[in-house]
Amino acid sequence: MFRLVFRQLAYSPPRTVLTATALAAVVAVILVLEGFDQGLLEQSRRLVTERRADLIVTQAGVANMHAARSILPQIARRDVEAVDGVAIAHPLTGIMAIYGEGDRRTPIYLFVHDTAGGPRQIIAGGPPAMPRDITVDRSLARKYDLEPGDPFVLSDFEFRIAGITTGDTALLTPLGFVRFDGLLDFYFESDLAADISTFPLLSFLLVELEPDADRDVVAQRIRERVPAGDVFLPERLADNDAALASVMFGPVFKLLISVAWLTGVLVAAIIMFAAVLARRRGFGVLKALGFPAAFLIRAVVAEAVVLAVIAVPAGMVLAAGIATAVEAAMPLYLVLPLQPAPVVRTALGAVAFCMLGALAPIPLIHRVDPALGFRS
Amino acid sequence: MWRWSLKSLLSTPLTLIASIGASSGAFLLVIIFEAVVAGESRQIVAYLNHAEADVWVMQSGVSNMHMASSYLADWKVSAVLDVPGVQAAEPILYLNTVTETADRLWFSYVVGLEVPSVQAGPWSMAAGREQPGPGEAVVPATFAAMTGLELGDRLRITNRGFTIVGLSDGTFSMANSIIFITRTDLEDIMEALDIVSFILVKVRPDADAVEVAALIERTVDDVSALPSARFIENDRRTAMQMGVETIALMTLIGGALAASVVAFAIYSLVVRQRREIAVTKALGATNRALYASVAGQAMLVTTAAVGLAVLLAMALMPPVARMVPQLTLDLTGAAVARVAVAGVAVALLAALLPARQMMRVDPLSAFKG
Repeated sequence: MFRLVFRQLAYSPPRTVLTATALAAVVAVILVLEGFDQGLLEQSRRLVTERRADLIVTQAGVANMHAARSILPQIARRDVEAVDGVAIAHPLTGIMAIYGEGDRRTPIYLFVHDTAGGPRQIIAGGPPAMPRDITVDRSLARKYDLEPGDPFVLSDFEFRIAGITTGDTALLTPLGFVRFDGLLDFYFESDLAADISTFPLLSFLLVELEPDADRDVVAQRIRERVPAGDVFLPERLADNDAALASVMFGPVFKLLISVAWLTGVLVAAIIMFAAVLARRRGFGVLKALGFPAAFLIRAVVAEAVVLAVIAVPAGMVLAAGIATAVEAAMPLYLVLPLQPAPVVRTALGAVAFCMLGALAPIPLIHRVDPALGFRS
Repeated sequence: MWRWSLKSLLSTPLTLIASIGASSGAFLLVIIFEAVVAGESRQIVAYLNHAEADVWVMQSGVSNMHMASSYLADWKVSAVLDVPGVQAAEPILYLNTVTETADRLWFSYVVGLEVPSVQAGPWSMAAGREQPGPGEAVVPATFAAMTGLELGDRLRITNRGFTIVGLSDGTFSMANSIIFITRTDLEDIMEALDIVSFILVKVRPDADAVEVAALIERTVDDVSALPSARFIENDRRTAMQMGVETIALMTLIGGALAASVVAFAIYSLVVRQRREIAVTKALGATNRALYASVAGQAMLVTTAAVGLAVLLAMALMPPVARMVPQLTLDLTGAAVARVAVAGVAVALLAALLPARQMMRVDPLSAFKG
């Protein structure tokens, strides 16, 4: 039966290539959508893990780094550093701001850092060094055509672009990095300078441990010593941010992926239907030679499976190409189309929808007249 | 020629239906995504649309609400009230943050109300009270339904617990669910006293909102004042800008998928009708006429696919809205027009490969056995 299948596929190479391409396109679309979903989760995790801390302290009751307002008392830093096993507690503040030029506006998440937690992958310029310096992600720089040395006005306060980073985005929001001196100037020039306690001055503490310290033990000690804060392993805080991203964007991607699956079944159906329709005469000959309809149906299903087996790797290559192109053109997005779980899910699904699609021409096979093969 | 094209296309109705169905799936993908972005953009400004304000006053340099921070000293409420043309002014304190309930995290706008609130509270209630008291919260009914919360249950904002006393309608979206608490409670959460974020201004019936906004900016130090329409438009644009790139990308991906499906369908048709095409060529049909015929067939399949996708989207949106209440879907004429334009490009692209195949057909093959 497989010999028949391979001969059918080899009979018209352009047709086989076009068929596999159409199926590969469906597989690629599903993988790219899955890749967007996975990329959003990964970006949310990186927001936390790229701060490179052994432990992270947040305001008590705050379990996220992104999208949450966390305010720690200034004294918390001294208290945390007094805990046995803590080498240093680096201050970090996170604030939301809107950057705009003309009618365009983009929300950005500002990290205010001192000795740690700053930008890691700088592709132009450098990290913020002076009070009015800001380093921003390349997605924002590209959107507004910004380069190192350019002015960058936030809420009427003028920063200067010190550098451009890559990979610093989360929840479709680019990140910016400034130093604490810059934050204080930013606050003092505002309307509320008289009561600066209004503003978040310290959101998180990035805890660096002594070389031989046990993370869990030190975390427990900090909990006991600093009741105003909660202590997280970075991976746990990263999971919380990923969970938030999943809750916010998961339904959209699930809906789109469902529609893509539906499209996949329809595409497989049309392909197999067209394949059988084009070879009606051949099927007539086989029927006349005594092959039962059940054999022909099995051959069509086997052909669909073989096509799926060709289409899945082709779709993976196509999806990887699309992901690279998307990230190059729109650096706000991270597309991870080749994560193991979605790839396995999509591969099994592709075989399933091809088999399902192969059911479409069954009535046609039953109706094929054996005499058709001998008509001129 | 056109008649022949149409007859060719209709000669295998099942293939035609399957082609249209498969292509419509690809267009449906684009339309659904457009509907999500349009729905969310509408929902993002729902609060601003329903709040009773002709002018919004905020920190200088701030010009929208979505994901923005604005802080004003609260004495400025009185200063705004003294501006000629102002009839009423109500402050709100506002915070973007993550709320937690029943082990679920959700990004929310927390609005701190001056209770009793006349201008800034929820505008439609599903159950309970619309005015929260100390330690109480009014949450979106959709959020409550998703998480199994009921009146009297508890909700956590940072480290403070709140009792749910009201379920509001129309205040939920993927990007900004609105939770109402008292301004005093929000001040405690933010550890900040005597500040407000926005002042909602109602102007006198004989006053002009644009003029009053300009007068407020001139009279009160370090504030921005925007007429409601402008403020809402700023917020809508901020939200839409986040979605526009993604829409373009999805249109490209969905369009490429549709192009490959339509190309496959037309290619199959051409292969099946080689002999007829050879006869047509032998009778004098030019390659240009044959390409026009293929392009016409592709256009017909694509137009039908776009039409079917729109119908499918209209049929699917009500059950999807029931099954996934956190999504707000909005099918707009502009979105359909954009997909239709993309469809024309898809049809022309899809016709290229079959046309090449058609041009290679040898007229002599019509006379071979």
